[in-house]
Amino acid sequence: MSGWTLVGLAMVIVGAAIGAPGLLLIGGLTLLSRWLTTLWSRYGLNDVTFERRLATDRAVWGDEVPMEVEVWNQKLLPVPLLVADDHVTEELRVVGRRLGASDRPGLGTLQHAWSLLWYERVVRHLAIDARRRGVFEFGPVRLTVSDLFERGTNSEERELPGQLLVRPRTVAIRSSERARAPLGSNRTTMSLFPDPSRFAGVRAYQPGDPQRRIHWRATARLGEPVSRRYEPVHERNILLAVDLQTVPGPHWLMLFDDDQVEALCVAAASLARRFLRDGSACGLLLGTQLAGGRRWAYLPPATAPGQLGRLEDVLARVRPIVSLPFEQLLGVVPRRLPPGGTLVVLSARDPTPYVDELRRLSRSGYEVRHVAMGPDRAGHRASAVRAGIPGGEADLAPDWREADALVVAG
Amino acid sequence: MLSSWRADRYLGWLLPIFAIVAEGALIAVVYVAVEVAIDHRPPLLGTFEFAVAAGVAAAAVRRGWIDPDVDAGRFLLLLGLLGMVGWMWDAEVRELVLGGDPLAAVPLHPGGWLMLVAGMRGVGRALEIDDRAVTRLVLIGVPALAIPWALGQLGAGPLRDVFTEEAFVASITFVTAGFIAAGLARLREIGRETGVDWRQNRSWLGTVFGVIVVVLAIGIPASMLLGLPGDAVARGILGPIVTAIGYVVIGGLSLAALLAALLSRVLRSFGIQLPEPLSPEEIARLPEARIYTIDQLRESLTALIALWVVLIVVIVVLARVWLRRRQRRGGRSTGEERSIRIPQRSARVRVPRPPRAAGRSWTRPYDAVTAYLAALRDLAARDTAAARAEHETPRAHAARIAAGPELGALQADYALARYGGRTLSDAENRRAIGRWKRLRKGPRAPDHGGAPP
Repeated sequence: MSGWTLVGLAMVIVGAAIGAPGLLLIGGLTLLSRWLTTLWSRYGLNDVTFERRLATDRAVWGDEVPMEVEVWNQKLLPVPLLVADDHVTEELRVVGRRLGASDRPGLGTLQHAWSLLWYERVVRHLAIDARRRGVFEFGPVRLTVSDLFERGTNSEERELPGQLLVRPRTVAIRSSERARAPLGSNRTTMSLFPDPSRFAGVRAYQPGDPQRRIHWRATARLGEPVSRRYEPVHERNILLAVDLQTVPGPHWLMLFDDDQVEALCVAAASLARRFLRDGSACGLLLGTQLAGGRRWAYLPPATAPGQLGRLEDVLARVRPIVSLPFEQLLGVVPRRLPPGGTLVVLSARDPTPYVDELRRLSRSGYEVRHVAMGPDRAGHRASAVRAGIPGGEADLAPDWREADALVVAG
Repeated sequence: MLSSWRADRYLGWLLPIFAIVAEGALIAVVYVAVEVAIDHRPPLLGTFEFAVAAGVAAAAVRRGWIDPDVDAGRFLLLLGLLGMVGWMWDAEVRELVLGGDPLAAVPLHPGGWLMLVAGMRGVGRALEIDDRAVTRLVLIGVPALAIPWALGQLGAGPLRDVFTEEAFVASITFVTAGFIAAGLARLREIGRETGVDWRQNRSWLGTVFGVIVVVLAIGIPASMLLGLPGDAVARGILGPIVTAIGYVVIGGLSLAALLAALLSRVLRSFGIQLPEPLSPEEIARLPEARIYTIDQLRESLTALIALWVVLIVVIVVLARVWLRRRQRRGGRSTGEERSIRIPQRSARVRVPRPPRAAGRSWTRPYDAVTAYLAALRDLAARDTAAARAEHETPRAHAARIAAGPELGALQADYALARYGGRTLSDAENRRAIGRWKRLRKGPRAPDHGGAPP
């Protein structure tokens, strides 16, 4: 209890005791003024709800993601000023808004201010401009209510975690030579092994066909024995190994070229989409800091319907800080990928530091391809070819933001 | 971002006006106490006059006519003029001064000195109204009112009622104007920090309305406690405005009288005869104005207060409509939806309910499927060994635990409905529920896990 409150209380008591209504009035007014000055810092945040709703938790680079912020004063006391400092990843761009500074590293604040009447609910519509790939975290939010008659404030922090994953953009793959799949390998049209899940029709029975392969209904209808025919197995296991070190030198220098990193991510996502569309099993290997704390990522090759989404999610989480040397990362390939698989290395630097590892993998039975990107891609491709690694080039012209296709040569 | 709207600029004047009225009201309480307790006569000046003195000084500084830091002479001259006006407000003083004895008049009317104080306070409110300064004025000023109140009530003698009424009205004005000014100053300060112009949101309106409601809530019982007329609170809230209107009316009437006199002289010069004005004797013969008591006027005063309250509400509503129209006209798209929604819980009466037993968070069976599932829950609750294993079909389970034909029929119904895709008839569903009830009442299953006695 403050000194002035005691004075007010004393005036009320004395005024009542000696029958002085004037003193009673002034005492009452003193108590009232003291009560009013701290009214909002005591009760302002009670029954105030704050919600943040994202239209989606995943977006593709270039999207505009609607976001709603709702605040509801669920009590009779109006709130003259409620400030909500919503902590968000500092790279987040909100249309028509600028992020404020935050005391937390890597975070900015999306500030909202409202005056709320009794039981008033306000829904504010915003839009997030997903012009940057990455993982954008939301929360916590700090709600601050200010006293109206004094400089007192009261704050409360609410967790309200949220996340928006912005995947890299994907572009069409264009090959500079016709009748060739990207990266120059011919698609298999025949195989020793049929794929029993891909029914292709019937053919006349041939001696030696197993009984289970006979199509009994068709045999009965046609009056002669016919066997089922299946598509040949032509699936490839492709592992995309992305070298995200874009500046030559030791990886621990943590230097990077932001545009090259983004170009690699766009190229990797675009290639993965093409491989999967062609029926190949595609996986991903990269050694970089990922949002969430992991130091590298390996996604085994698969053709499952959600594989492209998983691949893009991993690429969305990529941060440009390389966590381990690429040659060391390639060491995990023999343990994870069965021999016979294709290893496509996507890089924007000279392959010399890890070319020995690529040769070793090639000797181990992997089909190794090197795809050079970046301004010196011709030289890097030549280095790979000199070392005996089949090489190609990929280019996003004019840049990764504007390019409409990834042109693959070689 | 500060607004450049003309209406917003006018609204911006509210803050200094309320701050100056609060200063005038505080000085008025002191003046009333001094006049009544020391000079033993009713006060001549009120809140409005002191507020005008403070406002004149503030306007002079704001307009750059005087600068106390640069040109002290002009500043002192202005204060002297204000003091002179306050001093000469007293007719006795004016007579002595006109009679050539100004020295005898000097100690007569302390209002002059307080006008001078009002001018000095007004200078402080001229340029920048700091929210902390205004809040301090209210928070310290309110308990400080106890001093003039004590002085007035102890020394007023026969003028005690006059003191109580005048001091109460001025105190209410001080509290109202002071809190509104403090609130607006704080809103402005917050707006500077957050970039929200207080004039463009409804906080200021809420502040004004809220303060008036609080003052009414405490002022009405206080006026009854002090035995004051019912309109005292209303005069406290609206007094300065009414006084200003009164001065405007007097000024208008004076001007009209002057014009009438001029017109009369002009008409007479043209030979037009006008009726002679009433002489003092004729005026004295007019029917004497009736003197009313408070009791006779109680109903009228109550109606008057109600009228003022309605007037305030109408002003508030009109102001809101005006603000909204202006917002729409401005074409501002705030991207906000506002609504008043009372949460359900505030209107719901909480009925105490007995706590639910653990693990009974299910609803009563209503068909064969729910009856079978309920029977399974009952069996598992009685004996864990009687629970249906995940790999067991309903039929295998019923055969294993041998709970009788009721469970056999129930599981058959369940299998038909769930696996066979058959729609059971109402009679079958009713029979299944009956089987569940009988199973429930049946003897407890033997304790498979217990050791033999």
